[in-house]
Amino acid sequence: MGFCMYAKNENHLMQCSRRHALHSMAAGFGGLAFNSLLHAQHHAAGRQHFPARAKRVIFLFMHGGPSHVDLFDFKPALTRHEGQALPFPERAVQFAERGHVMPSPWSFRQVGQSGHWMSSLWKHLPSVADEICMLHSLCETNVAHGGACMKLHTGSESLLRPSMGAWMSYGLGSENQNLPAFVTLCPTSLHGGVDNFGAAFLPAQHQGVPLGTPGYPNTLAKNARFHYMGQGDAATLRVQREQLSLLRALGNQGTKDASLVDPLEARMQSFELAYRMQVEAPEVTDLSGESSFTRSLYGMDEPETKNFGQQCLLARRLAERGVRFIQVSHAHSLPFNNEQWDQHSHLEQGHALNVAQIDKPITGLLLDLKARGLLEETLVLWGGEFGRTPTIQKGEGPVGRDHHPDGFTMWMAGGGVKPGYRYGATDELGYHAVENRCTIHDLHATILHLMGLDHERLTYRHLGRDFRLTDVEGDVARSILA
Amino acid sequence: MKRCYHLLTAFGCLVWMSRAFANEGHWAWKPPEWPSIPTVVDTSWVRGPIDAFILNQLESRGLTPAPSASPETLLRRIWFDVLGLPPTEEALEVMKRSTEADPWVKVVDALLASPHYGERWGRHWLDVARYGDSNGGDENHAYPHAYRYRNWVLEALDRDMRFDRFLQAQLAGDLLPRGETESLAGTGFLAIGTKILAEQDPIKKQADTIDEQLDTLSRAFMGLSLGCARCHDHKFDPISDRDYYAMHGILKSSEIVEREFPTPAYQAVLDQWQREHPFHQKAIEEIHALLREQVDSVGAIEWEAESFDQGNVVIDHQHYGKGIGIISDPGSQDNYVEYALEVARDGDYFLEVRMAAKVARPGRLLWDGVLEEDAILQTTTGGWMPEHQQWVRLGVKHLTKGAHRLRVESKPLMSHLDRFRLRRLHELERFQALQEQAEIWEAKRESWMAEKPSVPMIMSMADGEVGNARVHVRGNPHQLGEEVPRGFLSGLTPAAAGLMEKDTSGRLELAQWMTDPHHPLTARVFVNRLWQWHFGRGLVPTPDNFGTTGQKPTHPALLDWLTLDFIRHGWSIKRLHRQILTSSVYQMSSQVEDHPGMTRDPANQYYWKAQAQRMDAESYRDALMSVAGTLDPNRDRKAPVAVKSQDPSPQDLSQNRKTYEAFSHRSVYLPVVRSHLYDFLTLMDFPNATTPVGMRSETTVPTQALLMLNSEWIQAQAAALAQQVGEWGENDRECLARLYRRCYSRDPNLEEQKHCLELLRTMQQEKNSEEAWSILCHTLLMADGFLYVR
Repeated sequence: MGFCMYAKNENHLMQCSRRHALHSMAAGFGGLAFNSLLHAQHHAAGRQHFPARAKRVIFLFMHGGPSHVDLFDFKPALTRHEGQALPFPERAVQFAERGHVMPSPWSFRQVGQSGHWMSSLWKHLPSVADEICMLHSLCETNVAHGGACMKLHTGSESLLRPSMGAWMSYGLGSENQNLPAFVTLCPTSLHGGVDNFGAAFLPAQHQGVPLGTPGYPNTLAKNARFHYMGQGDAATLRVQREQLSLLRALGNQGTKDASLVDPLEARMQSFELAYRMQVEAPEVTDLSGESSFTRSLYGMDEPETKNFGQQCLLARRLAERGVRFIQVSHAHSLPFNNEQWDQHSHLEQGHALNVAQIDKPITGLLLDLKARGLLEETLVLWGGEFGRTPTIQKGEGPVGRDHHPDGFTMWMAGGGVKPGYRYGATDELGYHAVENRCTIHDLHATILHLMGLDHERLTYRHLGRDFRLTDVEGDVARSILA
Repeated sequence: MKRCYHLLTAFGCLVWMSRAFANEGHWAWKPPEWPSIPTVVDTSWVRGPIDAFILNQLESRGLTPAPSASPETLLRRIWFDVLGLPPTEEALEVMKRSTEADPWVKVVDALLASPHYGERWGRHWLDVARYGDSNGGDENHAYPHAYRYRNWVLEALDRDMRFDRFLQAQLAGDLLPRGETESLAGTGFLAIGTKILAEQDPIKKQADTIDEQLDTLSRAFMGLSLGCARCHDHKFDPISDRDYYAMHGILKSSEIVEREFPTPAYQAVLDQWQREHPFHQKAIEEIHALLREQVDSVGAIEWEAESFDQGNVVIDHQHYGKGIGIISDPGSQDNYVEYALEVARDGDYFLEVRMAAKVARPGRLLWDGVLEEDAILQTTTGGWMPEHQQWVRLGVKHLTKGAHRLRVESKPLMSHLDRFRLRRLHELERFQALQEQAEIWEAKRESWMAEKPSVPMIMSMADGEVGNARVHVRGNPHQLGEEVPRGFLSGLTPAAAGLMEKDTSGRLELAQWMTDPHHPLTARVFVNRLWQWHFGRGLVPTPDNFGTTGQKPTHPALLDWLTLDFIRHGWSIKRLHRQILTSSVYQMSSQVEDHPGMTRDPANQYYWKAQAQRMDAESYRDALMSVAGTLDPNRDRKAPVAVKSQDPSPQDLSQNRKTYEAFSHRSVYLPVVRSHLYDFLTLMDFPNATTPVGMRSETTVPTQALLMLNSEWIQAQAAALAQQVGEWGENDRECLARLYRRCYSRDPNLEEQKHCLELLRTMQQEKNSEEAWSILCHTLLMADGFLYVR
């Protein structure tokens, strides 16, 4: 029984036992990685290295590089140094030429019991500040979007490696036999594109399934669909039912070859699953059952927040249904900057608009997860591929900031992290991460840890070597664990 | 580190050695040795040495080989294997009627000579060469010339290029002696890899690019991963970081260049084009001669542009006017110059200017304060510099004897004007008529120039600044350690390091070192690849990893024999195919019941039967189109159809898919856009084209099923097939039998017939006959019987 799919590759041939192989490779919707309940139980029992604090991840990806010093990392010293050169040398490799120090155009205040600093751009997020664990010391991505996005998503800035969602799918499987383990909502096709949710050398079923064609600009939430999904209408399904019966009948007496029994049975199962998926998946994306209160909570009734609100609401629905890793991308282009958060110029206009688009939806998502009891088992991660320089970028037009991979802020909420906690710090000017530096490998190690996986033991043998999401590095940021 | 060397050959010319790490004596570091061909009991089964080696192993395990596959099954197997296409109905008929005892030699020879052979086997190599038509990585720029490498591979296989040459061309085609110019395109191998184009650190970017090249070439040709040694001595294989940087230096001394590649086809088109040239040229020259006759040189005035009487322009003698002196604008303004002229006698005058302009900066002409021409200085001359100066006509004017003022205006910028010339005409009408003719001919010449065939370009390698590399400490290109002389893997051979020429990169020496008949890996790795592409599994089951972490050969003696035999017979790939395809082991049945092998060797490691194989992505697409009659079998070696590779929008991707679906040629000619591959191919396990893939993974996932069920393109193939069925006659049973022969190369059995006709009847209750057949065809095209080649 079960839905044993079949996969053959070099790695696979090293397994001597077919049964073992079927278990370890089992199931998966490749594109839409379905796993059987059997499989899920198998993983739940066998693959976690220690008890998990979170069952799933929602990654709110801010494409382009949000400016930490204008959003969460308050640096009053920037005012003192305003208009001056940095008191230390700029990094050697820069993306653009940089100028003098510029304080944030926005005022900051401390919010909630936690006293997190947030700039005046945030109107809604302060109400859930005490759920948030700030990570102020992210560092070591890359100074260009491509390398930085790939580093953030896959741990490598230059080589093709499995993405973190794929590792999660590989390590834990899915909790739901009818949905993929890793769904990425409205992804961008820029800067690594599909490789940022790819499986690389992991079996194909672990790759992220895009809900919405990857594109630039990214697909609007209202147009997001799974690929090659049929219409699901009764007439088509009836014909397909007949086709499946014939496939089964022909398969049953087609081969005398014992070595084909498993792969052919797997094929048959994959057809059955595909068929069922067409019947059941449309329900996930059908928001008609959501109350007007919920829609409003996510800002779906306001034009500015409608699109991202819908993405966040879809993320919650996927989380409820047991999808292991859900990525939500805030990755449109703006009239004055190519990538959503990439304010080389127009900092004030761009960041004001961007925060306005996500503030309410993200707050709504945290409140909604909390109200449904999902927050404690769901790790929410917010952030982009780098921060922005505390200095201005030289150039024409309204002022902006350059890419900054040396110290920036991400945050987590729910899923086993200390609420209201602050981890790490940048220097006085927000330039270098100086306290509890958190590299991307450390971030990945920590996320895996929260999911019950030891990043040093979650390995996959490829070309004679055991590969990890964290390569040969990564330390868990233990002090953030609740 | 302890190093001990182990003498392996006695030839004396080259000493191949194995450095002992923790893996002394690893089989793959030792050059192959001729094994004796084993004796067997059942000699009747043995058609050649391959069979002897296989049967010897089987007999020693108490196993017997499966019987031969049926002729239809075998024909289908060989067609898919050699051409990647299903056998035609005619080929099937010929086979059925054949009375020859062993028709296969003839069949195999014919298929190996088919132009479709290169399309199938070239594609296998392109997997290893991680061939792509775009950069992939962070910035997915198109590689518009990469396909010339693809074509080169296909053609090399078609004409059975020796494998040692094939390798040498790919690493050093530009350095091979004259007469090998056709090898140049082979160097695309090193050029077409993924690069992180937006990397802001040029030193890291170069190091990353070289790393990619080194890892690719070592894995593709030697089955070794070099990547680890970028940061430290390889833990498992005999590759020290010094070795790595010895090879790094070779590639650091080389560079990727796009260059002109005048192919014979291009040359033919160019010759054809050039033949028209003198015709234009002669006419134009004749007219100009006549025009010259019309100009009276007596009383001509010629003056320097900078000798103006009034003006607001600048004079330049330093740069644009070096050696001649020119005038131009000082920046954006209403530029003008005026000249006071004294005309000696009445007449029609012809005015010209000597000027240079890269882009047109038009202006106006006034005589004595009156506008004469409002669109002068429109001409471009190819540049701004003195060497771009040429005489340009300004117009004809009747002037009376005496003083005149000529004014030239140009705003906001002005071309670079050097001199003016005013000459009297003998006969104005004649002059103007000739001028009109000249313009007609010049327009003709211009359109002819526009049709000049553009020179093909290739991505290739060239030697750059030659020099050794220094070790990057812990892989950091900014932290340099000791300098390492360019060289190869000293763990495999210390001798070759000293053979490097001082003033060339060393790529040629590298290629020669790798193709030395005594090299322990190169030929073995390739022979194993070839075996694996035929049988679905290599004699070494890890084709890209011959290191100590790879698997050992199941038949080491056979691998050695095949390797040495391959080298002895001139590295001929087609000969090796022939040996394999005509062997008994290849021709066994895969459909075996109640065989002791099922319990004693369930994985069929020892080849007691043939192994059914699932079609790969391209074979599936080509086979669908082939049976549907929608495949255009003519080669399409043009540039791949254009699709959007960089930053595609969802609309672009949907347009891309339409482009792919409308493409009627074989799949090998589809563009391989990294990161945005045609999803049909990706879903059917087409590799991602960023690293060498010796063996594709084979997944069975429900997205494949969704693709097969719902792809409108697959449904269209089924409909095209059903339309033909409609033309075959009224008898459903006969139509079904023919449909089976078309799709499965065999007749249906009674059970299959029953089930298929049942579906047909059910569907015919609510749909017309062609729709019902279309649904049946669609089902048969996604069934195991179609997808699995037995």
